[in-house]
Amino acid sequence: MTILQVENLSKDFGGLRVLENITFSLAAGSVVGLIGPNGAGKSTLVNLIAGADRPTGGEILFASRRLAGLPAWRVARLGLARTFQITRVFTDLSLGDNIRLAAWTRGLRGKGLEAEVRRLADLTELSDKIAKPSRDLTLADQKRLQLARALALKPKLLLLDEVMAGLNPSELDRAIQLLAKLRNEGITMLVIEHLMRVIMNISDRVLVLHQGSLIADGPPAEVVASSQVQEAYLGRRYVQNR
Amino acid sequence: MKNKSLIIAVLALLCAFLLPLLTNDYIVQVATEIAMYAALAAGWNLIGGITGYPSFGNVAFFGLGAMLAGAFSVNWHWPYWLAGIVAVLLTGVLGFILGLPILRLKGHYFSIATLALAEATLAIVTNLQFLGGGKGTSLPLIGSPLLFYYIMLAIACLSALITYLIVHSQYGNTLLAIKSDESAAQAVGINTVLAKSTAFALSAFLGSMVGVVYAIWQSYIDPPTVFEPGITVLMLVMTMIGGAGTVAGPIIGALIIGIMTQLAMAVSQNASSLILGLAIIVVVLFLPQGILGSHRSGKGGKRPGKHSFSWRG
Ligand SMILES: Nc1ncnc2c1ncn2[C@@H]1O[C@H](COP(=O)(O)OP(=O)(O)OP(=O)(O)O)[C@@H](O)[C@H]1O
Ligand SMILES: [Mg+2]
Repeated sequence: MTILQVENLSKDFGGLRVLENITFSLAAGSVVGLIGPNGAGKSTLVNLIAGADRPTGGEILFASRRLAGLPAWRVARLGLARTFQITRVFTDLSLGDNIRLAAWTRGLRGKGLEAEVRRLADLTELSDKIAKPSRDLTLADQKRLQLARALALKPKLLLLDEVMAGLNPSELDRAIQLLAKLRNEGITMLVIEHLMRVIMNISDRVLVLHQGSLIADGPPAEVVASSQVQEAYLGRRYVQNR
Repeated sequence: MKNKSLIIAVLALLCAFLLPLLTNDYIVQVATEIAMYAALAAGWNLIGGITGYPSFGNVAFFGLGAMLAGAFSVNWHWPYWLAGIVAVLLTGVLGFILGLPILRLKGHYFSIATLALAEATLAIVTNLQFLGGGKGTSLPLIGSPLLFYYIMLAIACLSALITYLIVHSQYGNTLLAIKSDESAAQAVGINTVLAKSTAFALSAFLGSMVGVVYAIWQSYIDPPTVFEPGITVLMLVMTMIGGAGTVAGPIIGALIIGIMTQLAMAVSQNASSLILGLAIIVVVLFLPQGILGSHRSGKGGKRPGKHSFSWRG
């Protein structure tokens, strides 16, 4: 079953074409990696799907529902959650209140609300910092908080824009385990990540974006082996990194 | 901490209540103005302090409350209480409707738009025959300073109560989230347009209520007085000095500015605005977060932080 269908999606910024005729779909329950060099248009694609920005052309269908024109908050309430590459936490609220607000917006109240906040803080290993003002969190913790806050929406589809950047190797392992756990809960994920080790580890499928176009779409091993992808992306520093 | 705040609030209220027994008419007059500005500043704080949208046009709601209530009671011979209630409700609804487009703007653009809104409202009011066509409105004189002191005090308390309830609710957290990061607020499913416009409507509601009482207290009002831009500036300055986003901040700010104004006038009638202006600059320089903002500990939750008042573009 397809949960997300993107058809001929394009985006211009001024005269600049940043995304060109992007077409792909996500099967419900799958984990799909989205890779591509800096400036390829990955974050722009996430913004379009999440309703934070309007496409210049094309269609987005989420659970067979057209998303075009819906404001971001409606898209979120349909069960499509996202994180931001440059962390955006509610700095005037404590860590717990960040999560609580999202769960409350979803409709949880009273004991159920508190239990959910605790569960998500545990899941993201933030329990001991629940009362901390979120402005005082480290970058890694802000990334975790963004994930917890997105999960508080009980999403069917999660768009993760470099949630693991800046984590150390052991944190990275735990993050990978966490994503595996989320997949077991049936959450579909589109994961943007520069670290090939992560992408190879968690993805059922990999999409490669290069200068605004999708240049590859397939199983991780196949995509990595593709000469076009090697040239566009992997041939440079990333292959050496990992 | 919570108990301490409650004790201070009860003591302050007791003092305010007993004040007329212990002092003279002059002090009661000054205290009435302070209570009035405390309520206005609290209304400003809802949109400017908590939601992070610094309005420069809130005087429009004060002026509309005064002029509408005056017009209903003079033209249609409504009892003043009815005229007042209708004026306040109308202004609140207007605040909501105007908020929908204006709150799409951010930072300086929002401030300029609200400034223009207040000027436009003055121009419209001045040209409407129903609202006096630019001439003043005379209302029956109710010569009871004490009555107005207690009414203004009650409105100030109501404003503080509304602020308290908001700040301690998820709706308040919604507004704080909007202040922190509006895109992120939308990303967790918050209808930011609705939340902001509701805050603006509440701000308009309180401003209008003060205007309604002001009109009958003064018994004569004219548009230039009740739409004076300086009134908005005072709301803003008082909130900032006391602590934007806090419950007690606007009250403390109104007290400080109110008392400083009287002291400055005692020193020199002519130079009083100059003295007051300098005093404000000194306070803002040394307490940029406001008095309550400066010595809060990092307890989390609703403390007003470094960015309790921000100019985001
Ligand atoms: N709001 C904007 N206005 C103009 N140009 C933009 C805007 N946002 C992104 N761009 C441009 O669009 C292109 C794609 O940017 P995007 O952030 O989507 O890339 P990315 O693949 O996420 O890169 P990175 O790996 O660095 O995060 C870049 O050239 C960027 O400069
Ligand atoms: Mg990006």
